[in-house]
Parts: sequence; structure tokens; C-alpha cells
Amino acid sequence: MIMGLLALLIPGLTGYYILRCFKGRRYSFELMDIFLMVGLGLGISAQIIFYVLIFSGHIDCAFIIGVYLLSLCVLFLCSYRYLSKQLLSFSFSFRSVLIVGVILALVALAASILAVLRPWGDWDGWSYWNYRASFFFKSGHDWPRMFQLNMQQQHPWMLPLIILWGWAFYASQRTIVPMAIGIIFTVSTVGLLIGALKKHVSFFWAVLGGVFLASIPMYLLQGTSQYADIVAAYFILLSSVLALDFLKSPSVSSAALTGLCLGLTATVKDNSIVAALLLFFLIIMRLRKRGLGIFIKPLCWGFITIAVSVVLMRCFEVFYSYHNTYGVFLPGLLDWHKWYLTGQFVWKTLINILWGGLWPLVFFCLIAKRVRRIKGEIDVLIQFIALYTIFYLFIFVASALRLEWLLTASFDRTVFLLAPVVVFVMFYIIGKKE
Amino acid sequence: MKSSIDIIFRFLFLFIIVFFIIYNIFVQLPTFKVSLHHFKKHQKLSIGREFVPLIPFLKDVSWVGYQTCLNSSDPLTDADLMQPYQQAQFILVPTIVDYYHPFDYRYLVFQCSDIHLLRKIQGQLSSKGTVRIFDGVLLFDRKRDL
Repeated sequence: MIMGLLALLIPGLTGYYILRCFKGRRYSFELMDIFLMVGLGLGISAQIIFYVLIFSGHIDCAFIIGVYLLSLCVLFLCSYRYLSKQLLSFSFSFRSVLIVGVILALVALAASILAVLRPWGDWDGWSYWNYRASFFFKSGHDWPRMFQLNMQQQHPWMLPLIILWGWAFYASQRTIVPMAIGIIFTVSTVGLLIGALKKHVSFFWAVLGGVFLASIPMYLLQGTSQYADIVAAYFILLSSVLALDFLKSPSVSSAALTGLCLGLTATVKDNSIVAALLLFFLIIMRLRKRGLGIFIKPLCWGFITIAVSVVLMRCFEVFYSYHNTYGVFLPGLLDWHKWYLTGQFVWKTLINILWGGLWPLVFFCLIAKRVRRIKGEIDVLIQFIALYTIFYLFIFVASALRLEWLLTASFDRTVFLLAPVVVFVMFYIIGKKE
Repeated sequence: MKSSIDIIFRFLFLFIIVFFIIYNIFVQLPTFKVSLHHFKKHQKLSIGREFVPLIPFLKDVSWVGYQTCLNSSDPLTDADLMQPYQQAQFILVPTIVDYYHPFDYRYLVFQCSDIHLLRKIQGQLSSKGTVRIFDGVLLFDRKRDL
């Protein structure tokens, strides 16, 4: 228990110091920052472990923890001048923390109960993500051999590296680690949503948004499946809300922080690479349209600093692989039967009980947006949601894999990545004062 | 006029959201009940258990072939077939379990829940190498062939 708390506390501290480096002297601690710290810290932990793995060639638990603590000291020294100048101020009340705390405790309880039912997550979750972590942990210098198996290519490595961080702390492969990571991200996403909404709408609507997201059966189901989808959903929400804040009040530090989080989003899985790139280009287009080109450079630097690891990961996978079964069959786009099947499946998803009424409400909110004339930077997020969905519909139809299986196995998970952002946009539209 | 439309939209949305939140909680209650029941029974982890006895025999082995008695026209997308295969992969790390080229290696893992079929295959293979049979899994070592 103590080791587990320490394994979470150290990334939390890392996230805190990174945030302080970006936010500067006039830093007022917001509710959203608590949940931003957790994800940011865990994402950066994965980056540190990745570079340790690349340069040392194998995993040594003590070495990883040593390098990590050294990085933490460097971060502390970097942010020291800010820490020494001003005491921390909080822009939220004790009452709001108490309410959010109770809600998140209930979400954590519900997620834990469901996780107990499936201690190994969904049947292929652990065989993909935990398999990779297991290979890093057990195979010494031979870890790149895992990519010789064609199923282990395709996705970046953030989740296995976070799992590895937990295992490095325990110095053994504990089942509790992947389970706890799923629960942490499930709870943090709800917290982040409430914190992000609170900046734009009243506390009542923000809390209601969080409660609605947590009540969606698909949300808790995916959160405890030990897939990377909940991690990707968290980072996509994080990048989206940071992008919205950045576009509303642009600054160099917020541009760099948004870029950094977009980069982290790209390190989770293949769908999140697409999401990060789409959002990145939409932000750039918006900046250019508004004549704010000076902020493109820090945004790009933040993004490239992290995204370079995705390129390195892909190089390893391509170099060590010998066979790839995942193909795209472009003539499939002209097969109308495939479009018909996809349409049927999309309709089933819209009315699926597990989605808890989310998708019908999206249409309601789109009408509300038109009637209430809500415009501005939120349009970037709506464009992002639409483009991502259209892109993946084309990918599904063009895939060389059997369409029925592909839709059943991954359509829900593909749109699940958008669920927190969709809830954010919905409550923004309804809760925002004209 | 505009503000009254605004209020109507908000109230309607609030009503629908509250309805869905309550509905979603009730939808999930049976799952929670099942989960709590499991929790009380203190069930042990059992995934990939049948492959655990193979670990000592496959120490320092880089690759093993994998075959199953199930047939499928599209094995990659067949969950019944892939599930035990992926369990084997996870349990036997760092040995790589190859489904696509099962006969290219010295060792072959054969998974089948039909014990009679396993015994039959054991009889057929015993003249070609060493065969060990476990609970639902057969390990074939073709030492004499190489």
C-alpha cells in the first residue's frame, strides 16, 4: 500500500513541478491542476523510462527509480525560483473540493468493484499491454524481440511503461498495478472534466457533467478493461481543454504546455496519434486565422519534444519486425455493402444501452448550440470530434480485416476515446452563459 | 424570448441528464452485485493457469510453435481461438509463442480442452520426440528430429 502510494506520489510531484515551470510566478492552483498533475507526471514517467530503456538497453528497477529521482531534483531546482518567490494560492474553495472528493471516491469505489470482477481486465487487454510490460520487465536486453511477433507492433508504449514504473517500485509483477492504473485514470478523467468545466460554466453544471460521464456504463467498463483507451481518453481530454484555454488566452507557456500534452497524447496508442495530429493542425489553423502565428513555434516545440519518442518507438518496431498483418485495402472504400454494415453498426452504437444516452444527447446539444448561438474556440473541439469520427469511419471501411469483427472489437473503443471530450463540449454548450 | 428558450433548453437538458444518470445506475446494479459476490468468494486468479506448468521446460527457449484443436476460417479475428493463445503468450514471456509458423521450432505447444484428443495426439507424436501432457495442454519436444 505504502509502495503504491509512493509510486503515485513521485509522478504527482513531477507533474506539479512541470506545471510550476510552465505557469511561472503568478500561479494560482486550480481544481483542474490536481488531475493534470497526475496524468502529466505519469506521462513524463513513461518518457523517462523509455529513454532509460533505450540508453541502458534493459530494465533495472533500482536504476529507473534512481534516474527518476535525479530528474525530479533537476525539476525541483528549475522551479525553485518560482517556489521561493510566492506562496501557493488556491482558486477553489474547500466546499468544492469536498464535493468533488466525495464524487471521485464513489467513482473509485465503483471502478474497484468492477475491477475485482475482472482482475486481468478484458481478455486481450493484458495480452497486449501487460504482455509488453512483462516483456520489458522479464527479458533483459532481449526486450526488442517482442516486436518480432506481429501482434505487438502498431501502438506506442506509454501504458506498458507506466505499468513498468509500478512494477519497478514493487520489484515484482503485481496484478494490482495495471488494475490500479486503470482506476487512477478513470477517476482522474472525471476529476479533470469537472475541473475543466468549472473554468467555463457554473460548479453545478461541472459536477453534473462529471457525474454523467461516470454513470455511463461503457465508461466504467473501459476504465477497468486494462486497455490503453482510458489513458488515451484522459490525454485527449487534457489536450482539448488545454487547447481551449490556450486559444482563449494565448501565451507562450500555455502554447508549450498544450504542445507537450499533445505529444503525450500521441504516445498512448495509434488512435491517439491521429487525435493528437488532428488537434495539433486544427489549433495551428485557428492561430493562423487569428494572426497569432508567434505561438506556433512554442506549440511545435512542446509537441516535437515528446512526439520524437513515438518516432523512435516506431523505428524499433519496424527494425525488429518481420511480418505485418495489419493492412489497408483502399478499394474497400468503394464497396457499398461495407458502408451499409458500418452504418448499421453506428446506429446500434447510438442506441446502445451501455453508452447511457450519450449519443442522442449530442444531437440535442448541437441543436442547443445553434439556438443559443454558442460560438468561438469551442468550434475547434467540435471540428476535432467530427474529423476524428469521419477519419475512423473511412479507416474501418478501408481495412483489410473482416469488417464485422473489426467493428465489434474496436468501434466502441475508438469512439470511447472521444467520450470525455464530447461530455465536456455538451456541458460547455448548455452551461455557458451567452 | 431568447432567455425563455434558453431556460427551456437548460431545464430540458437537466431533466434528460438526471433521467439518464438514474437509469445508468440501475443498469449497472446487476453487474455490481455479481462483482461483490465474486469479491466475497475470494476467487483466485486463473487466467492462463494451464500454461504455467510449461514454464520450467521452456526456460531459455526463444521461440515455440502454437497449435490448437479449434479450427477457424479467420483465426486472427476468432476470440475463442485467440484467447488461449494470448494467455499462453503472456504466461510464457520472454519465450515468443508463434501461432503463424507452429512447426518451425523445436517445441510445439498444443492446446485442446478435449483430453481424449490430446491423448490420441500424444500417441501419434511420441515416436517423433518427447511429449509431455498437462491439464489441457501438450508440449512436444522434437529433439530427435533436429
